[in-house]
Amino acid sequence: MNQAGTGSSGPVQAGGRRGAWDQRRSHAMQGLAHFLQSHPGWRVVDLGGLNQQNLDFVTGFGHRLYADNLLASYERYFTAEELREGSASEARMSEFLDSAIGGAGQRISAVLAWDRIQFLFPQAAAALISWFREAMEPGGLLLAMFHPDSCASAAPLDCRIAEGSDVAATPRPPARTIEKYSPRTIERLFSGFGSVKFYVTRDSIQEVLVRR
Amino acid sequence: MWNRSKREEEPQLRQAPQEPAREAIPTSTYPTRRVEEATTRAAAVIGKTIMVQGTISGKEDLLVDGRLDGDIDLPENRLTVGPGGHIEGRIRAREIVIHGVVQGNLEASERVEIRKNAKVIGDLKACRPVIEDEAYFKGNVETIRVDPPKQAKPAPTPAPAPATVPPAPVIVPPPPESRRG
Repeated sequence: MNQAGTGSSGPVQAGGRRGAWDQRRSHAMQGLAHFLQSHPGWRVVDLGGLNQQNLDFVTGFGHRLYADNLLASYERYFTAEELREGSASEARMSEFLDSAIGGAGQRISAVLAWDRIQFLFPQAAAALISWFREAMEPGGLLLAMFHPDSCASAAPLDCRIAEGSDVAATPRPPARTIEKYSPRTIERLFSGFGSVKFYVTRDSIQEVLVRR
Repeated sequence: MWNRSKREEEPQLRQAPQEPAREAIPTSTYPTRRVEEATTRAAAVIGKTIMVQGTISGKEDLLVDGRLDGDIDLPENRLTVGPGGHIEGRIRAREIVIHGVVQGNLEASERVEIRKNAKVIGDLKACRPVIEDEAYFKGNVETIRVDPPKQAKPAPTPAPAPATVPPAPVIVPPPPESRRG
């Protein structure tokens, strides 16, 4: 497990109303950008929903981008009861993954998961990661972010890749309950992957770069 | 008579400079919505209450503000899906601008614009995909790379010109005008 500090221009508002854009250097993003530069024509998945900056960044390297607002798909698909209980049948889970990310196809080289994993109930998060473990190319990279342990709720971050592989982020209310992830539980979540690198930012958001 | 007519003209000539000076209207070279409206106004229109089932193809711009279940093929033209437009089918056009809802794959030889509040579910292939904030998109995006046109091979050049060929003219700036007293 590697740890490295990153610079930050200020704390990201974790909940409540939509805050200003917070742009910071992201070592995880730098690692991913370096990887994307190495070869054109890959499949990249963005789970934060499509925006112009990320689209230009990924397609600028000659890659194909699959985009979905995972959280919107998740909240639309599961019933209130399933969300409250935090469980669903295997068939329902499989159908959800097919509808949300099935269009991305197989042989995925990189995934921009941002902070979305933390908004899923643990069974859904595990199923999602398992799906990516099957669909990703060996050596592929997944970037994820985790809000600090102290937060019980957070607004999902709208993350955009800025110049020089910086990441600009702003919370998009409303805030939702989030699952707590410690470095140990994160490692356990990605246990089937090759390696997990942690980068802790000044505002305690953990960036994780996972290699398939 | 001649004098009279001169007198009649005089007031007009005098009036001309008395007109209030018109303020310069600030103009922008950036395309505005008015320009867009003008282009869509000239297009064929499927209005808000129209429902169409079937394939549409043609060689003119089209504005769809109603519902269409079927494919659209306008390879040389622009398709605009208005705010009330709802299309379920494949779209192929030179330019595609979406304000409404599209469920199906999009392919544009030039640009695709997905505007604020538009909803698109399908794969997108375009030379210049543009997505505004608060637009919803789900699917694959692939940009078409346009290679710069290859330069035609230069025709075989004749042997080097002999020394008798006059050199290229040298343009000498004219001397400043001298004022004659």
